[in-house]
Amino acid sequence: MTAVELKNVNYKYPLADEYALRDVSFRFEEGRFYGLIGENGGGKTTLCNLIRGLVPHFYHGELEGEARVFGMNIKEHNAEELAVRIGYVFQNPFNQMSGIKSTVFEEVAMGLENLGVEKEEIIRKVEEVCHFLGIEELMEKNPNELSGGQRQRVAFASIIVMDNEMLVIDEPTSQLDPQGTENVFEIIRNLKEAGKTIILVEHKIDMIAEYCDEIIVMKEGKIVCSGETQDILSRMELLKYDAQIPEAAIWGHEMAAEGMPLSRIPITTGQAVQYAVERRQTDGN
Amino acid sequence: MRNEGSSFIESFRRYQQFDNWFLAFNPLSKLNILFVLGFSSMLINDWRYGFTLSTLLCVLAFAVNRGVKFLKPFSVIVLIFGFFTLVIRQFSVEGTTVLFTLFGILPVTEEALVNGLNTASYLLGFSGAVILFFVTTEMRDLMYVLEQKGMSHEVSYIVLASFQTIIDLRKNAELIMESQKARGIETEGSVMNRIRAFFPILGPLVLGAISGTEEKSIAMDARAFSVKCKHTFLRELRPALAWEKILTAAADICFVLLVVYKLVLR
Amino acid sequence: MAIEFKDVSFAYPNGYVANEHLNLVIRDGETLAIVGQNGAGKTTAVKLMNGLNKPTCGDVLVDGINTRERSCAQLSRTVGYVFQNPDDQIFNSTALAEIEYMPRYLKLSEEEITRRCGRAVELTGIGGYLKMNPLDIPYAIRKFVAIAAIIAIEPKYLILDEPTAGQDKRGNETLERMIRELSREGTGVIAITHDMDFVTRNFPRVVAMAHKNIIADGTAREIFWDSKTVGEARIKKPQIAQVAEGLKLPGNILFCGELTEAMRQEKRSI
Repeated sequence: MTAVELKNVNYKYPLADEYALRDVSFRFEEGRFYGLIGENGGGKTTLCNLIRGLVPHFYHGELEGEARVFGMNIKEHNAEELAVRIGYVFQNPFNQMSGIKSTVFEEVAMGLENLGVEKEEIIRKVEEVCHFLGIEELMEKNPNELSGGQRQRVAFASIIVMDNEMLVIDEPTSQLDPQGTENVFEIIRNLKEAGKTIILVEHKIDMIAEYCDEIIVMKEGKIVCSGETQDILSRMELLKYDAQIPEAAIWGHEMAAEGMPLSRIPITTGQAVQYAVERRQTDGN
Repeated sequence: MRNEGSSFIESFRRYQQFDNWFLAFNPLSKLNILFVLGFSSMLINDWRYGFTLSTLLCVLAFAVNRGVKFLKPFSVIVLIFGFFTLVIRQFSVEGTTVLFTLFGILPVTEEALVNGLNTASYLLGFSGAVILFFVTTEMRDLMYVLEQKGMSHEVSYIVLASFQTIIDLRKNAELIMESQKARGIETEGSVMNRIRAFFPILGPLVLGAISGTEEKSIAMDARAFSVKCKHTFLRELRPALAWEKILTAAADICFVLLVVYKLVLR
Repeated sequence: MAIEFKDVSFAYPNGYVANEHLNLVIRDGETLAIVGQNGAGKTTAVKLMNGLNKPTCGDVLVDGINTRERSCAQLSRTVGYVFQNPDDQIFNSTALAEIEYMPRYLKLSEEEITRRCGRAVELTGIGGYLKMNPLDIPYAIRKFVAIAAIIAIEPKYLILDEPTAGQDKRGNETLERMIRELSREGTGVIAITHDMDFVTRNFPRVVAMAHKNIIADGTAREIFWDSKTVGEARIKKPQIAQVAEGLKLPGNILFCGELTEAMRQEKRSI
């Protein structure tokens, strides 16, 4: 089933000189975890805005081409309905706190209150999500007094508690330390396993390599390549698109250049170890 | 999961509790009664009533454990507005019976003094009532009650978010001041220094506040804020009690009678 | 000349202790990275270096002067600090004006201002954005505008608070080039970052912090290959080191080249 279908989409923000999206065509399937990578200013956030319906409902501007979300043209969708079906977490944690709730528990509960969920259900879900994200000790604290990293986790919790079918997540770990980042990615993986469609924008290529199903590389508003993670992230050509490839893949290419090729180019450290061990065994024989 | 956090979480399953009857008093009824008292002070315009009312309000504030919070803004009003008005009236009001002379130049007449005291007292009575309301009622509780009565939750959000924005502005100002200090801009010391520091602090502050609003509305959208369905409330207040309603009605009736009386007397 | 921490502890006015018993010496021209999980006290520690925070116990000396005797603004000429969020600092209407602001505030000659700004722009690679309003400049590049504005003050030591957060490949490359160049010119660079691969490539010295203390201070190789430190500071081994560990190769490997060489040696010995 197709969650989002884009055909020859061109988009320019109001008052902008350049097109933010150029001839973008792509199909996002339900239940897959997509990693969106590429240079800053390359169109990743705009693509997220489009999928989420902010383009054209919030950011007006010129939208050409066809964009269908959940089978219906995006222009015909009811903006509020899209907001509920598609969860959105973005980079700046300071602008994601409502500012009207005095405790993290209430902050996370807010989305459910707006949806008219029964109180007992709200309490159960919020407790569950707080436990999931390891923010139980923050539950009674004032969200407006938290650090950036803590707010990022609370913002994330506030969206996933709403159990949306699709999640668009824009750089959720920029302020987190390695442990916090690991935690967030684990949760995203669990969400994908629960059947949700995930579109994640990230720069941390080693994490993307570990968790995503498919990669989309963007540069200057265009999708320059896309495909299965294993395939895309092992290609050196990504470097010329100003995208990073994992250290493991760089090493794999170096080994090949030095006459000791591995069976495949690894993209995670786990794979690197595995293929190197296999190589040892063949060398030994 | 049902051990430590549980009493906090439990509190949402019942109506919210408060420390005493006054804090628990239905916010809308409280607003009604206090405003009526405040306006009555203006209508009666008599220093005996005004000062008695102010004193009673002050006592009430202490009785419900909000004495210090009440006195802080109230004493500012007393000093600046109360005292100021009293003195100004000595200039503006003509009188015949001179009681004494201030600083050897300004004659203080009985008429002017009484007039001044009346005005000062009603200012105190009115502001005392307003201050007492705000120190014994949380804005979120008032908004909750208004929403129950049918006010849109957009308005509720705007009011509550504004209060938070003001607190945020102050915090942001400190943060920005720190980063400008770290750059070498002196923010303390001489007046000249402080003036030079003004724009480097104001600029990012205002811009930050404005650019934040766009993202904030997108964030609220993502929390189903604009969805048109009936909202539920995690945090609920008990409905107004019978005696609260009776008291409010009584206060309103007295007020109406007072207005009528004043009109007739003219 | 150095930045010295002598048994420094720091607590906020509300009593919360953020740093305990810090001892550290950063010499002229050194390049070091400070790593550790959020909450370990990294930012409060660096704020002690430029006088934004004054120690509650112990002393911080910057080139021999106790930070308690100078205001933060005075110390900023020696120790520059770029905040994590550029929007807390930027207020001028063009990027160029932002960079020129401090040299003008310090009443330097036009010649000097031009020279300094030119250098700052070259180091940060933002030449194409000078006439633009900072708000129109993409966020990641705004970070460079903020860095340029501090470089223009030409401090002896430069502190960068999470410069890598949100940066793409080109941004990281610009940062690396900038740090190398600054280092070559003798400016001390101190960076707080969570990107361990970035640390390995660029910082000969690493200070690891955990629960308000400095728990380790040494070369990247020493720190990342000490499992106890890595565990306590809740950091991650750089990727190549993880592979080397998985393959049980000797030599405390950190770089691709070393790993390939080790594999070659191994093959030879078979």
